[in-house]
Amino acid sequence: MMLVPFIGISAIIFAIGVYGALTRRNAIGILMSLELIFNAANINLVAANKFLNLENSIGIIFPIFVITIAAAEAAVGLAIILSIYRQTKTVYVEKINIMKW
Amino acid sequence: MINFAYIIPLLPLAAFAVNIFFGKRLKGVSAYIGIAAISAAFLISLSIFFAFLGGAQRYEVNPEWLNLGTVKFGMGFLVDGMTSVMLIVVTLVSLLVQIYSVGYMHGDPKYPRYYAYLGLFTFSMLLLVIANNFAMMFVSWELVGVSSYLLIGFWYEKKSASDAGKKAFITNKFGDFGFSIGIMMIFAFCGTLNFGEVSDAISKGALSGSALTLAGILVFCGAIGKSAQFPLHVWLPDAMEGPTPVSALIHAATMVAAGVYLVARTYFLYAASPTASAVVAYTGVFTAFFAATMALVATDIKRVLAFSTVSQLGYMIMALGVGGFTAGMFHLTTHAFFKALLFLGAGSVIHGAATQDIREMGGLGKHMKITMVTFFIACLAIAGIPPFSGFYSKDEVLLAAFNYSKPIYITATFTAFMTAFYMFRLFFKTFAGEMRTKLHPHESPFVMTIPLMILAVLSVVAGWLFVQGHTFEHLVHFKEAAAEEGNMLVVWISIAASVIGIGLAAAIYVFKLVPDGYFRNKFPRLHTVLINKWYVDEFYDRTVIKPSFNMARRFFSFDAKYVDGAVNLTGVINVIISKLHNIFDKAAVDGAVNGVAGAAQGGGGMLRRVQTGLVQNYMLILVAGAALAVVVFFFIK
Amino acid sequence: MLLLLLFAVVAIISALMVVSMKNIMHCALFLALFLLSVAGIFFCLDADFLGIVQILVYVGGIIVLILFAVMLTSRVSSALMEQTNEQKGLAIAACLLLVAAITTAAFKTSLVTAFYGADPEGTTRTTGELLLTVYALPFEIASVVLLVSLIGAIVLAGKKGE
Repeated sequence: MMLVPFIGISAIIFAIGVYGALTRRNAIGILMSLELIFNAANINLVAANKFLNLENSIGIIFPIFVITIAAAEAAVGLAIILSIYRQTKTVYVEKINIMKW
Repeated sequence: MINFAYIIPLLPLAAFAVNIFFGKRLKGVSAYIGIAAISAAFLISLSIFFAFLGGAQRYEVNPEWLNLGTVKFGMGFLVDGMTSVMLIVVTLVSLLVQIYSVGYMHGDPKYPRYYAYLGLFTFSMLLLVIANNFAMMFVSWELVGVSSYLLIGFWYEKKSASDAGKKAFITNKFGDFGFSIGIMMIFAFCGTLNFGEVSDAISKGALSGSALTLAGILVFCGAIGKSAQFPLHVWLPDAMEGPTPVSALIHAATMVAAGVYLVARTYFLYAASPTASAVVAYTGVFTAFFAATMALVATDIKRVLAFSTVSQLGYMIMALGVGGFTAGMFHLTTHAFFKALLFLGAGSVIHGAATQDIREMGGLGKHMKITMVTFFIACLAIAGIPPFSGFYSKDEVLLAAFNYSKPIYITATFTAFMTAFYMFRLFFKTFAGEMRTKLHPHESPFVMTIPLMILAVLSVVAGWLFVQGHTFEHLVHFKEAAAEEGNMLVVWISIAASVIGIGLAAAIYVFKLVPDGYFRNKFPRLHTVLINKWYVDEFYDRTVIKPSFNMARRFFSFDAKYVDGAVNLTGVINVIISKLHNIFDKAAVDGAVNGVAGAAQGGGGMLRRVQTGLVQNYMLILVAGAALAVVVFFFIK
Repeated sequence: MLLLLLFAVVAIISALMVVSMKNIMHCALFLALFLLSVAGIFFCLDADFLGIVQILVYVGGIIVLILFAVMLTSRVSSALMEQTNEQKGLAIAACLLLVAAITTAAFKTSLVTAFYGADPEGTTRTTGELLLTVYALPFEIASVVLLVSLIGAIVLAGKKGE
């Protein structure tokens, strides 16, 4: 087994996530796409840890922090979406233009 | 104790954090938080100072901050004799200003925010003082700029105040621009930003010749901005729009001292490059002279002091340029005390008399005894009368200038004469004689006069104490600069210049030997030039501000009707072309005009479409760019 | 090996579903499937602790959060509306370019020669030890971050006197 297929898998998932973030109109959909991106990065880190024998198992530890930040991001992001929804009655990003001049 | 020096800046920062977040709840208590923090900082500084008096060694901590493979950045602090003196000056003046402000700012609705900003200001300056590398210096440098902006524009409801804040900030940016390029140059040549390592690298020849000179001048650009040297001095007189205690802080200990401190801290650049130090010296002496001439005619009490600050800063910069680094720092220290005293005294006068125009004052001495006596001491100190502190430091500065170049020395001495004259003009007009307009002056409360008294004592003794056994030279010394031999001639000439200046002021304003306005009528044109500050502001207005406004307006109209503009322009060009080349038939000319116009229209339209305001569009371009960057990086080398 | 392949395929397919389904509810459910299969990939790579964390935090926590958000805003997100914007084609092109660039770049590096070292013991023990020794400070900071985001989320989403 080799490392490169894992990089390929994570690249594909990453690209799918980017695609979602670029094209989704629903803000929640964008957040979900961001989760895909996070997971792509995590797969990469874990695989790298496995194959390259990283110092202090950084490839295992770092994903834990990534997950932590992802959880925080999801909580705050969804809270923002909810409060925007309450203000504007929409979650479609192109309609949210209160900051636009 | 020295290894805890990093706590000193953190204390005002903590006060800032508390006051900015909880200010609304705290109201009047915020002042005590600020004062408590700065007092603690002062006490720590004091213990460090005494440790250095007792012969402590230079102490540096340089932990790794950023590791970029071959390039490592440290982010630590450095304490030596010079730092310990600066720590004392900054914390002491800040402490006294904060105590004084309790009285001066009493009842201001933005009281907690004022103390928060003072904390931020002090923090940034202290950080600047203990920085051990250019990067940290630059960060704190900018922090000083920001906090000065906040404080100068503190009464932002007044348009002049908010304008003055902006002016200070933007003028400083010009200098900072040069400073940042200088830092980059130093980094490019030396591969490090740590002061000690850069110094070593320069002595090994990593940076030499014209590159060193250029780096020195660029770094000095920063000092020109912050220390209000010609041609970037214009912000300092306007900075008077801030509350007077803030002016005291800016002029004495924090902001303007930063530039002098920067040059002294990076003295190795100037010691190695005679051209760079000559630039420093001539800038300094010219500023000193130039600002003194403006102070001769100014009628606003704070503006006179502002010009005198610019002039005295010119003195310090000149001292650094002529190689008298110790003398320059010494003058910075003593100047901090008496200039803070002058400003706080002026604040007391304004507080009591409710005007800033010295033509409306006079005879205030009867009503404000403490203010008058302390102000008098400060005037004597700045004029350089022995044994007041200004005498010792000014004498050393003049001595350094004397050994460097005679023209500089003569100009500096003449400036000393003017200094004595305009300071006593200010003093006599304010305190002596009869009241010129109906004012109801009253002495300020003790919370304001006690800081005055403390500063007055320091203005008297600081110079004398520091020259006892060459204390200051032991504290603040520089490798290359040897101690100067004393020269009695210089001493007597400087005393004579001061005495003549004071005598002249007394003759004109007390004994009225010449009628009021005699010189104004005799040299009307010179007077107009001086009162208009040599038209530097007007010059900037014409050459920098107006054109950039026009440019902005042009961009605006371009933005609004770019198609019209493009069509007209190309139309005009094409008409000329068609006249010159009548060979083209009408259709071809039309085609060209329409084609160019169409291209402009299409291009503009396409560019407009890029600005969708949809983040997802921008991100798409970003992703495509990133992918292309990977392709370029790995496959097309 | 076969299991890993299965997880990878499921992960990619469900990821595609997440970004292409019209009903946002279905998207969220596919996201759960995707996260589970990523946990599976972690298990196959001997990162057992991380796999558990993935299931607990992501599937147990974040998915529930997202489902809540979906339901609270479901009135407008009807399945009938177009869920993607007009830059779909360009985005697909850019993303394909990205995948191609990353994978070919990976083949060009020295990583190709890296090989799998089996570790039957799992990583839970070392992970735990490292978190409480070498990484103790980041760990504490992460908990502060979580606390702050918790408060932030409450402040943002909480109704204030409307």
